[in-house]
Amino acid sequence: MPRGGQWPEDLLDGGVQDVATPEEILTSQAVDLTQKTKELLRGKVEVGSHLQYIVIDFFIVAPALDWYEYRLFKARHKLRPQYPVELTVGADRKIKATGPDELLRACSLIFSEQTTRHLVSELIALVKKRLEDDQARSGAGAEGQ
Amino acid sequence: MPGFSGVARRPSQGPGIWALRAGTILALSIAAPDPPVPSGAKSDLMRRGGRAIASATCHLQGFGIKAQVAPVLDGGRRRPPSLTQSTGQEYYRVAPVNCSRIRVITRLPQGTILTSIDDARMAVFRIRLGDPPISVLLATAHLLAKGPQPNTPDNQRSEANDFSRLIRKAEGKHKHMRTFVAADLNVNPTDIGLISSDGLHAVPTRHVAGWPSRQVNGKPRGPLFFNPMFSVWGDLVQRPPGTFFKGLTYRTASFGMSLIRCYSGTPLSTCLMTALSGSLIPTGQHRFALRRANRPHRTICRCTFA
Repeated sequence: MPRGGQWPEDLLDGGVQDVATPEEILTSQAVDLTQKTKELLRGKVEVGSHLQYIVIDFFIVAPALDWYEYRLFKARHKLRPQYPVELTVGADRKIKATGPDELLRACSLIFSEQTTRHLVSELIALVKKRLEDDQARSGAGAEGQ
Repeated sequence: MPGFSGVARRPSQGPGIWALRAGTILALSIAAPDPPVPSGAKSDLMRRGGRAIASATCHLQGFGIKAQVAPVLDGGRRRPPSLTQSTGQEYYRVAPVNCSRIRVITRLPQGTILTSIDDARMAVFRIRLGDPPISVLLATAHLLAKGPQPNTPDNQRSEANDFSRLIRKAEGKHKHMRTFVAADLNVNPTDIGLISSDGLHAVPTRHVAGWPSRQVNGKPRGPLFFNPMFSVWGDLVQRPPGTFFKGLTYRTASFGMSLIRCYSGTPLSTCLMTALSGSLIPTGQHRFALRRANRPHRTICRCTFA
């Protein structure tokens, strides 16, 4: 025979600490890249799953270069608990972050590495060149008319 | 930019040479510089004098193009292997911007092949061919080798899943599934990462590979790849064996992997169905030496094609 609901009344109020999820943190980093490069490059986060893991891919996208995308790193974590997060950078380097702060530190480490800086500046230079070429081409086209 | 990074034209320097046929895309999987290459090993393709084997070949009959994969030792110097001084032909090195384990070179016309997505170990290229142009996708990768930690079967499976996700992403981006793979996956056709539906989902039967999806635990999972490498195991027939003895696995190892999507939803799929030769370079003149017990050794296999 059905009786009254046994769930606690304060389910929406928490009882769980408000901790930023890995996806939120990485998405904020993607937005940061987009803003700091004035949209010449865009950060993009894609979430999927594999076995018991949530997998998150962090991409750098260059819209002007035919939407070229580079997967800078991959992150994976279990559904519960969401930490630790394991980041795979480059071919096989692993970084483990046991909490949001460590994940932010790991992001900072990856973004300030020489290889990443080099990649980003190279892409920005290519994007600028492509935009200039396009501009010159459209200018020439307008003169031709 | 992603796409062609340069043109090189150098004089021919004698025999023992790799020369690319027009329409060939050669993907070189670069060996990890760490651990160090054994002493005496040649350091790049040029110094190997062409003595490397193509591990897998994918031939798109409808377009007359083929993609091949060849392992190359980098010698720890982290620079692109050089074909230049040997070919005497124009070729282009496609620039996966930061893919350190793959180099792709081709003689396809400039602008035909562009990098779509890549990361440190894998890349997907969009190739536009024909008139009117039709786009196909070439996925290539150099995944973890079999070995002790961290190169465990679990990690290999995880990498296969990564590769699969990258391919699906590229297919979504370009809105078609005319995809073929020529890659140094370092797995055998029966390995879980290759065969499972959350991996590359590559099956040995063309008929099954032509299905849009397959029921796994009551859920549709797809799409599938056709893996013709199943047919080149062993050396019973008169052709180069597709596997060689290796103690690490169950005594065989494949030379690489060619996979094809048979379900593309367009008539083009018939063009994509191809002859797959499996192991060694199948066209042009090729010579190869096998050691006793039919075990080809990488450094003594010799392939010349012109």
